[in-house]
Amino acid sequence: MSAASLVVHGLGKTFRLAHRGGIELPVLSGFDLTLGPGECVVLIGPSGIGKSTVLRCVYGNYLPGGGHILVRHGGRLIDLVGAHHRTMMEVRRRTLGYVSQFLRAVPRVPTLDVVADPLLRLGVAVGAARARAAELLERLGLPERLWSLPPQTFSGGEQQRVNIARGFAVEYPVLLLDEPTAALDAANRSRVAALIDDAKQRGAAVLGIFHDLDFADAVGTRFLRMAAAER
Amino acid sequence: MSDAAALELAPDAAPAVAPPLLAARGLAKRYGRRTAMADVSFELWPGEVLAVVGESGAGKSTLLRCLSGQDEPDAGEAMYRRLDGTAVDVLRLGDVRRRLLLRTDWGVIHQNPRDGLRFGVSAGANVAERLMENGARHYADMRAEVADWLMRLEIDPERMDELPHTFSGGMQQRLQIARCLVTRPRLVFLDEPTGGLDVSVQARLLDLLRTLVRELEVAAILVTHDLAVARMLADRLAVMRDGRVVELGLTDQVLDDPQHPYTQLLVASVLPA
Repeated sequence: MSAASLVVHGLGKTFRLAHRGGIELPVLSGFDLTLGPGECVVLIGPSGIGKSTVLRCVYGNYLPGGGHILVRHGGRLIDLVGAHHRTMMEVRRRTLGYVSQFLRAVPRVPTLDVVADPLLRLGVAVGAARARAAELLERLGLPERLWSLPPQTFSGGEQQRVNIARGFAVEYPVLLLDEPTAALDAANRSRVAALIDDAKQRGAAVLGIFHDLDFADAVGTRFLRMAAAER
Repeated sequence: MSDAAALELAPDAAPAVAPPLLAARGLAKRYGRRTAMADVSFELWPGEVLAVVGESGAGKSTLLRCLSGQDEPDAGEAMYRRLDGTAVDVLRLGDVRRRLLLRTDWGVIHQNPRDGLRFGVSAGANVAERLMENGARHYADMRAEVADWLMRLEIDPERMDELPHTFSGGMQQRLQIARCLVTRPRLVFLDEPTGGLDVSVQARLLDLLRTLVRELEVAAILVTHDLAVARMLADRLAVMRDGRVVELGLTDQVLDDPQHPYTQLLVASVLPA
């Protein structure tokens, strides 16, 4: 247990919609999770139960309503709930990777640089970053003629592969994957599964949401069924 | 921490955070009876981009003008950490020293290139001028550096000796950015830098700005009303309304999970792109 990569304890999240009569939507209450290196925990449960909310709270694009989110960052276990934004930014740069369903990239930037960007932010030299980006795009079967083009005009499946390559460019110790394969065919799904397996091999802790149960079976080491928050 | 301790996983102490580059506290400004800015406080770190968003009249430009020395706030302080580690309140620095700071450490990029460029001299002279203000004297070196900066901003150096009015709007804006960044400022103020440009030109400029900010590790305060621009460029977002900062946080957190009723309205009012 002491080697846990991610410990979520008592996580709560309620959305308050000021312009809908101040309505409160409780999504998470008392949510617990422990994730170790090399593990891939799959969150399961009906849509709306809060699977994505857990991932977003961990990554910090949702503000947790309470509880603790402990992440092993540079050998130290630090609480992200209430953490300074400088700490949060550093944890995102080095420790936490997050792949969502949709690619969000600056227009006009070539695909290769979109994928290399997280490495450049870490201070990796442009050449090495692009080489790593190319390696990932190749593994994901994205045709080389597309690498110099911005991904905005690509198909859904192509964009999703660019997004996955970007999310895997840095070898993050903790990976959060939110339906990364929703738009992919079987051949491409198995390429993504191989990437996830490699990440587990090198000791990454993976927390994922996968709509496709066969895919979840293939990469998951443990399943966590979520229950509705107390209202 | 007792809950976490129950798991026998007490967290380590929170990592130390380096001191900020700029710490503004309690900034206020009135024009007659109208409050343009009230109780504005924030901190900014080296290499960090802070976007200030809000509707017209929210106080964004007042804040930018007061910090960049174009206007005087009625109250508050803005502690700036100089290269030697000492901090000064830039609002009480006095005109001469503040102008010196603006020349050596800071840069301003205006919405309208006409406010940031001199149209009577060549494109190259516009960039070289800033270098000379900071002590450069060697003509050939300067010309080489200017050419280098024009190329970085995707302006053909062959056009160095042309006057800015022969350039397109997007090129003028890129020239203004070259003029500002050539002296490697540590803090840059950007006032709606893509405001007057066509959408296709905006994207190109955003990409250039993003790359330069990362390479030079310059801190920036970006005033914009465009949430998409803020999402692309900014690490953090401050939302202003009626002269006050109503919400401040990591850009994606503020946009994906807005807390303040006004931010919720602002985010909900934008057409998804």
